[in-house]
Amino acid sequence: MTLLDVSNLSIGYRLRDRLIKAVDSVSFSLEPGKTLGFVGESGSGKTTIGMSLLRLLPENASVLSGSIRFEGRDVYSLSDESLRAIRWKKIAMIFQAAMNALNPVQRINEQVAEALLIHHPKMSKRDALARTAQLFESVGIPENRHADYPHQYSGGMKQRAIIAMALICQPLLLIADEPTTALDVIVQGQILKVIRAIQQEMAIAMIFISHDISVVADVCHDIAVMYGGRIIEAGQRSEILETPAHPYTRMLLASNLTLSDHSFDMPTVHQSRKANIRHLGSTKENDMCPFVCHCRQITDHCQATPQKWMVLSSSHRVFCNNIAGDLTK
Amino acid sequence: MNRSAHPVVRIDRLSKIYRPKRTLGSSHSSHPVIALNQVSLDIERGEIFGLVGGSGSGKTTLGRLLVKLEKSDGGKIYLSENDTTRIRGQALKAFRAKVQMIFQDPYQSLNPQLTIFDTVSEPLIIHKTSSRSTRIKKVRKVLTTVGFSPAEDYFSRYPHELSGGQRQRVAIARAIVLNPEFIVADEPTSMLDATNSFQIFNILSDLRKKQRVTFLFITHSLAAANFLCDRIGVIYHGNLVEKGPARQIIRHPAHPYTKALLDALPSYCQDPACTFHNTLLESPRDLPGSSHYCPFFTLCREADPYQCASETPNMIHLSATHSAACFKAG
Ligand SMILES: Nc1ncnc2c1ncn2[C@@H]1O[C@H](COP(=O)(O)OP(=O)(O)OP(=O)(O)O)[C@@H](O)[C@H]1O
Ligand SMILES: Nc1ncnc2c1ncn2[C@@H]1O[C@H](COP(=O)(O)OP(=O)(O)OP(=O)(O)O)[C@@H](O)[C@H]1O
Ligand SMILES: [Mg+2]
Ligand SMILES: [Mg+2]
Repeated sequence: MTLLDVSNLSIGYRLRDRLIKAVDSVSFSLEPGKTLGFVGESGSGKTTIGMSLLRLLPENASVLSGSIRFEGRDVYSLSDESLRAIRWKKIAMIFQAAMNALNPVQRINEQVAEALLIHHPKMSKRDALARTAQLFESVGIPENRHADYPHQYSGGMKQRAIIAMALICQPLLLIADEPTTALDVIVQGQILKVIRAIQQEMAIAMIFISHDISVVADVCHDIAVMYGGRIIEAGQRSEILETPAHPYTRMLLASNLTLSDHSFDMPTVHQSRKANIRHLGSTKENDMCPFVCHCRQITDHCQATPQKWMVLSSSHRVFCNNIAGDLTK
Repeated sequence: MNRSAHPVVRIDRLSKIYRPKRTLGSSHSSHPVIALNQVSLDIERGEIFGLVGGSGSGKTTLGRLLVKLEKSDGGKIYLSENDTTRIRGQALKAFRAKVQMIFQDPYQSLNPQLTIFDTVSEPLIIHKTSSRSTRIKKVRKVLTTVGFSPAEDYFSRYPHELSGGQRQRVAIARAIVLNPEFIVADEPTSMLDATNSFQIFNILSDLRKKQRVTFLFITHSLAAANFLCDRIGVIYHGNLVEKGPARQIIRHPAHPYTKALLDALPSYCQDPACTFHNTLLESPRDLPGSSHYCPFFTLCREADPYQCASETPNMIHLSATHSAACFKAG
């Protein structure tokens, strides 16, 4: 059975003088044990999607349309009680920049054990600490640092603790929002390895959010590329990496920095940027391409007509009607 | 070893030790952390020097010492030949206008009470550099430079109304609004997608080219340093273990830790022409009994069980510009 099914989701934020649409007509689904990566520009709505899955959107946000189904049940019509049964126990989230949220005056291992005890009140503190120690071991926090305070940890170690905290209740779905962004490459590699091992061990499904396509490429089965609140291309990992179709995806892959000599033609990012969020109210704009201001392949057609999804394979789709020729190039 | 007789920034045997505070009524004794251990390096005018290293290796600490947010426990920092540890009063204020830091974490470094406009114009007010109308112009210009457009749309927003990457760009705008001479850029694009970080790198390159701004660029990615930096220093647990021209370090790394940093990049960032060095142990070996040993001993696959466990390696010159602190280098 499909674990998570998101259909036509749109989310807006109220600002003092207007509403902005941060997520626009987003649809995707996730099977148990699979990992779906969300990659895209800063501000394209990745975190907003992640937060909406747990009903943790900030107060000025609202779901404008669409539905989110987890194990067949509509998340937004659950009672508070049913929601509590799902949140953290079945769906856990590693928040972007979560490591700043650690309590500065409590030992790290006690904080993590406490997260477990909240959901399992009958467990003894000693068992909770033992389970914490186990998990700390597998995310690579050395034993002599388990009982430190947050300020004694570097960024990377805090993030390991946060990952342990998210995994402590053995969820079915883990939403990881930029979980390796603050880590160095070596630790990132180790954490990705840890995450993969735990995915398999616990048969856990993941939504893996990152701005970094090279990280997403390392751990995800499927990839959704976002731009301006929309998914603009989605497919299996190899389809996105080897035959990217959308001009933004292509640009993203081309500007990924590598160890090679960077003498090749670098994509120019247009300076004349328009805000990548469209204002609500102009419904006509709704199906316009979000990438028009930056696209190198733009035609008059792109600005005048709404876009439709083009289906490239049973798993690969692109929100652009101006796909040129051979994709393997 | 100085490439130039007049480096803008000269760091001479700089050390920093964090001692555990005995607060919180705890009897738990943690050990002092040597965040920086006698680090020496020079940065020339208009150079982008990359400081690359793992989590907790002391990169941010070095940055904070350079901009005088913290005091060292030994060693000196010279800015244009002036010892910065001694400046006070007006000179310190002038220093703060010339030297800026883009902080690693825009979730912590932006004041949540200030709008974006106030955040970016605050340095202008503190340094009384302009009238309100010029301030508006400057803020608009600098926000546009970092990719907000139209910039006015963001003036009255608060940090919590921005995405992570947008906050990061605000932090960059704030750091460059006073036209500083030297910028410590601490992982300035860690939250940006490749196209945006590419744009930021171009902004930094431009500042260097047009205004001869000097940079210490802190990153954990040798791929980013490869693209942006003239020279690179690799730091491990507070010790500078290798430094040299960027291409040289990427193509001919000498220190096993540098090699491990290269190996660890996701496969999508690798250069097919580069070899896999395999210098990192899966699980660390025990610390040697002696009090002198190579800082990388516990994780180094290539360590000599005798020499590396009983002596601390010094920087060895491999060429006029390239050096590494490893007995096996060269
Ligand atoms: N609380 C809020 N109030 C108003 N606008 C918001 C709020 N949170 C986010 N936004 C806006 O919604 C859009 C989507 O933000 P979101 O945080 O989902 O982006 P993101 O893709 O996660 O970006 P990043 O990669 O930078 O973290 C952005 O334009 C952002 O400015
Ligand atoms: N205020 C502090 N008190 C105690 N220890 C500290 C403090 N700040 C940093 N440290 C320690 O000093 C060492 C260096 O930390 P620093 O933040 O400079 O590393 P970094 O290289 O910037 O790491 P990252 O890549 O994770 O940001 C770490 O072991 C850290 O735990
Ligand atoms: Mg985000
Ligand atoms: Mg740091």
